[in-house]
Amino acid sequence: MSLTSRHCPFPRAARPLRATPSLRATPSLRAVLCWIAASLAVACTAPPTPPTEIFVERAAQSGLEFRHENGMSGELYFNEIMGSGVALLDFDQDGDLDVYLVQGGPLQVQPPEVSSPEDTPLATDRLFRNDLSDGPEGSRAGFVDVTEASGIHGTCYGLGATVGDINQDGFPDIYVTCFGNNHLWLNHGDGTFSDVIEQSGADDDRWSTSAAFVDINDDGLLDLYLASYTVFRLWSHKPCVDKHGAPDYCGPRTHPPEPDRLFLNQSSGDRVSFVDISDQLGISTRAEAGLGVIVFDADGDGRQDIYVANDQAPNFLWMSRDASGSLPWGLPRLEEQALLRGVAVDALGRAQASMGVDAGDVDGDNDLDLFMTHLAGESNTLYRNDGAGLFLDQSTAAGLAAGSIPMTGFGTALVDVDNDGWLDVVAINGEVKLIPAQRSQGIEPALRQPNQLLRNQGGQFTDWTAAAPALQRLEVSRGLAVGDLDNDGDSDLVLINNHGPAEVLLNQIGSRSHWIGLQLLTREGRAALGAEVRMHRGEKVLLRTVRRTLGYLSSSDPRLIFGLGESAGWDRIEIRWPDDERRQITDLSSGRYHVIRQNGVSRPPGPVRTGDIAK
Amino acid sequence: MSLRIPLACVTVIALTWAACAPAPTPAPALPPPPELPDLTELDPPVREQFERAHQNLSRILADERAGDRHRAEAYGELGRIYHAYSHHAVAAELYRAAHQLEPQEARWPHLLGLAERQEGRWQASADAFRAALKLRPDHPALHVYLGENLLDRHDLEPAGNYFRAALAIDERCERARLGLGRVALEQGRAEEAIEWLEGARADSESTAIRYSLAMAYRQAGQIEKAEQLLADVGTNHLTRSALILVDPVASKIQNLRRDATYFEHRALKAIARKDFRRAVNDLRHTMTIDPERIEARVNLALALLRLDLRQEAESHLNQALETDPNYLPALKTLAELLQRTGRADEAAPLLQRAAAVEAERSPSNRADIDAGANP
Repeated sequence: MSLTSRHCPFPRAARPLRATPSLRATPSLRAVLCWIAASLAVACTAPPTPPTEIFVERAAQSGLEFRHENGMSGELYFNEIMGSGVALLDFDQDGDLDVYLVQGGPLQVQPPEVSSPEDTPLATDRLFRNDLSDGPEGSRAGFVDVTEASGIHGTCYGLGATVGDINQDGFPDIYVTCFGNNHLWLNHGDGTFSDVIEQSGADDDRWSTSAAFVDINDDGLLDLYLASYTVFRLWSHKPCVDKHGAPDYCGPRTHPPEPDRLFLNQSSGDRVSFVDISDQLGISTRAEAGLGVIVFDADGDGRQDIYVANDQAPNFLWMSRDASGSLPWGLPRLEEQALLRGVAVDALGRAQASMGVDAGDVDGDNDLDLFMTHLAGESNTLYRNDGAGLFLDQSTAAGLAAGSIPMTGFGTALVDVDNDGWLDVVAINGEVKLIPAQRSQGIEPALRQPNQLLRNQGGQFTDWTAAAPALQRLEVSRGLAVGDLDNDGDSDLVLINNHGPAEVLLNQIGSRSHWIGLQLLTREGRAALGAEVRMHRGEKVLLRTVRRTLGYLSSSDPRLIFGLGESAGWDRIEIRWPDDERRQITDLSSGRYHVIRQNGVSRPPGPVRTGDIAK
Repeated sequence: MSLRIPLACVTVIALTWAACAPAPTPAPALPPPPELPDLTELDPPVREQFERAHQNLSRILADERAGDRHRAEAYGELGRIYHAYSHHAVAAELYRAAHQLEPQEARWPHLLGLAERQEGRWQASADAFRAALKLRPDHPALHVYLGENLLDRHDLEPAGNYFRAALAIDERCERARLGLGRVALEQGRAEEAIEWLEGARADSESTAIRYSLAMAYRQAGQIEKAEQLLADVGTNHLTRSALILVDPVASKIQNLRRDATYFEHRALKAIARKDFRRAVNDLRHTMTIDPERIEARVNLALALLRLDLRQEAESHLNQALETDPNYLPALKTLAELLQRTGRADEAAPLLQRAAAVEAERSPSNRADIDAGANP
């Protein structure tokens, strides 16, 4: 064979070269030459420092050992595939994030007749306290299981958890959704909780999924939106099959959907009291299989709207409108407008199987866009906001569609992983239909998929997962919460795998950039859910909102981190509080957290490690 | 100096790399037949399909007299079986082999493009469709697929060109009009989008067209028109908004399915359009594949009753109750049938049993049962 072959870009010889033995590549010579070329390439192009993995998994090292149990027994019960959620909250108000993990449990139509002391103790929800310690490399999160001491005994077949200070005492409480009756863990502020669900009026014995606190009538008290899935009980289990006729899990349309509920908080002093206002506001007139819930201001009118990601059905967008006093308790009207606003279905008018959802300004145009995860075969969807609350499906244009098609996404978050000022996407995945290859290998659950990280560069996304090997582990991931576990100024992740372990993914790169952290508290001293903060940097505006419930069944850190990239400079920060009061700040230092209270009203005392201003 | 070192590096790398570049390789070897999937729990007709197509390919590959065309057909046939049951990656490999063996046959890159598209591999899909289009430039579906691929990647101008080419071949191609409407919508040209989509709407009740048109009217500020269109769509249609594209190559894939679920779904669609004869045929077929499908059996009985075939309906309801004596829809339907035919005495015990089952499942009893989750 001649070296004039088209595979070798040397100048074409006039006649076949027969010599050049030194370049006629014997295998050994070729190996040597390739090694030289590779070495030279590395020498010429390698960056000065080795690449860093974006996240490292540290569940065991940090003491957060938890394994979710979905109760699978071969029956393929519909709810085995749902998994559970995780909540990040500072329950003891010591300035760092603690972790609440929701447990599933056994699934049996008939309860076991007798349980002996030798029986394995029933797995329950767990509360881990974060005892942040200082080390040579900065602060380090360390978790201690304080479930027993806290009085929490979450024994339902749990789904999700959301956090809010329902009685305005400065300590966050926890609402846990279940397959069956829910829990409401009231935080007493001394490290203990008690379940007040029965007397609260906010219980629901159906199949609840995500819940979100929102002050729907601007009275300062957190009300509760509760999404419900389908009318399913173990006794109504139906056998379902896959395309080949092999037994498989059922889909959401096998059972009728349940309407969601909205509970108005009327608590006072020690009395915790909620009233179901679903009928008054029309919530109960619509029923679809709800999963993810996010509260955000869709049209910039200063009111909190509620978006519900429904499974294989059009999504809901409950727009809050002034009722001019026509409804009791100062309630607004809620109008369901998802279809007209372009966020009910995809660009072709097809309802998708929506799971997790988050809202954030992904394109830097000063309004809140929506991102949600979907079933394999569908793409994840980005709805871009035009600023007036009209959205257009821009998933493919933004580079978010193609890579998501083989994945079934659940938990998700819009989070600035590298603190460059752009919100990246984390999507965690796991099938809901058995994967034949995994099933034939005896893998259980045979639903495992890798997770994904997509980097946002100016509103365009590219797959960044290769730089985050910790996300590539094959699991059936479901709940995802985002928060700064070690208070180093970047966003870490806690995720929970269905019938698998919880994972703590510590961010290794975000704190290399400049940043400012804000903790916004209302007059009453609780997290100012719904507050919008705009940081102006020249012509650029970074918009971030205070929220807890996001993604799927989970609750995140309500603190805000503004990633500043390579330059610490900024011009001003504008805060729009939930009651529409405005405030401007120009004098915060970067590289630390600042607590900002509305109107300077003091919050309950507690050791706060971060900077604290109250003007 | 700063330039010299990198230039030297680049030169040395280029020379060395060129020298170690591999010699030209022959065409890639054909893949062996893929390993059979786990067939143990599959419906028998599906199992037979896989086994037969596998055996056929193995036999032909072993036959030295078999020509390339023959072998391509065997690869392609097995690919279509995998494709029909959503094993798109395996199907793509098999189509690729068929294309390699029979490069002048447009079906193989066409099917390869479809399989790659299902896998979300847009570039590979577009490459395959382009290869097919070289062989069949008159096939409008190929133009549409390429247009949709480009539209999905927001490559709007070339996407529009492909849709226009499809329309030049088939002026009734609604998917091409929809594509052009969506391109205009993405470009913010609402009036042009409305023109294309109104044209498409005239010939179609497709939800995709109506929804896109509503978005175009919304973009044009004609909110009332948008609301009217969306109200017409109705929530139920949003779960089935596919716009059919005439593509005989693709439709052969669906027709290959032999599993009970496929026939059951087809029957339910027939019931929705009140074609009970078709529904009965498909549900009878479902029952022969999987006699344990109790819901399908009751649906078969209900469809038979619509055709006034009471005796057969009664027989199926009794069989359903043999499978599950407490299956409420079967209990109630059979009791109603017996009452209507003057056999109230036979209906009475069934109604009693139905009431007992319902009472057992009432909310007051449910708590105990569900407490299995909370012992």
